[in-house]
Amino acid sequence: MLSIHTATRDDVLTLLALIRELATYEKKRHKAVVTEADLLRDGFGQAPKFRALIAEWDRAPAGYASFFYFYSTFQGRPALFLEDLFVLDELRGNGIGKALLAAVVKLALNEGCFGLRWEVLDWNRPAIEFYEKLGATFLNERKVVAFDEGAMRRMVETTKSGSC
Amino acid sequence: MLNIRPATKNDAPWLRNLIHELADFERLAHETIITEEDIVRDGFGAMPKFRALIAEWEGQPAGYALFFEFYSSFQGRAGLFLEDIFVRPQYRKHGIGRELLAQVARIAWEEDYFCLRWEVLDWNSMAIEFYRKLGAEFLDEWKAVCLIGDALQALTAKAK
Repeated sequence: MLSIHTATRDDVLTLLALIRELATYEKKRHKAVVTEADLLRDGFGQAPKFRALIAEWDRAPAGYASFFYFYSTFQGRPALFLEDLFVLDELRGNGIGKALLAAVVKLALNEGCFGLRWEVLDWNRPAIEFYEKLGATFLNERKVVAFDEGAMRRMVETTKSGSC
Repeated sequence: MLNIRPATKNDAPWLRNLIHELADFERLAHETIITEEDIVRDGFGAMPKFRALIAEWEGQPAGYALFFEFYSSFQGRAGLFLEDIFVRPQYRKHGIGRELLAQVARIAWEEDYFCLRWEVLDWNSMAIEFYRKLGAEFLDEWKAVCLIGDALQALTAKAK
């Protein structure tokens, strides 16, 4: 049986384990440096930087969704950005991912968001097909860009202006 | 002369104009419905959903950058997401875009964000070249996805 609940401080170890499982699945385990202390501080303190839902199947952790607000200047309204959506490999095919996604959408609608945004890895065919079937729109003309800490520092150092 | 400063409530009418000019440039004007009231409510209330910088050239609004926080569950840290960076066509070639981006990078750096992230349209080769020269990394394996409109309702209708 499936049950979904809002993650609390008591779920931090479960959440950490699931995040690491997701990172392994995405072949990015080396990038998942998050700790229990990080999740406690950033998810369950005074001003949480993210929220999460935990899915249980027969009372054992089965998956999770984590998300936070995102703003669209074109819409003039927030969306929810779905940072992670993950179901353990052995429990797929039970509708858990869809139920998690629906629960996040329900929150988004209740909170006046115009939609949900997320990113998917281009080689993750099962995920892409899953999202396509649910009517998701792929923003194929958008490229994701980033400055890492090194690039940020170089940008700051090579610009002579003072802070504003 | 260039002056870059944090946007205030008084800039809402100009921010609205600049956002609509960016939307025209990105050929997305038909999707752009933001109003001055939206900007005042969401940017300058008790719990702002974004921050913005305004660039002025000889006292005239020349461009803007608008950004907010996001979170990386793998990093266990927040980053800054640059939603918009725009310089009006008549003010290009003065280094205003670079300066705006540098100011946002400075804020990200000083406030200990782990990265600055944004999106660029794949046909905007001028912007892509500009970012590449500044050392930006293109995360090409990530595809941006959204769920909006009827698809939202359809999904929740099925959920109990």
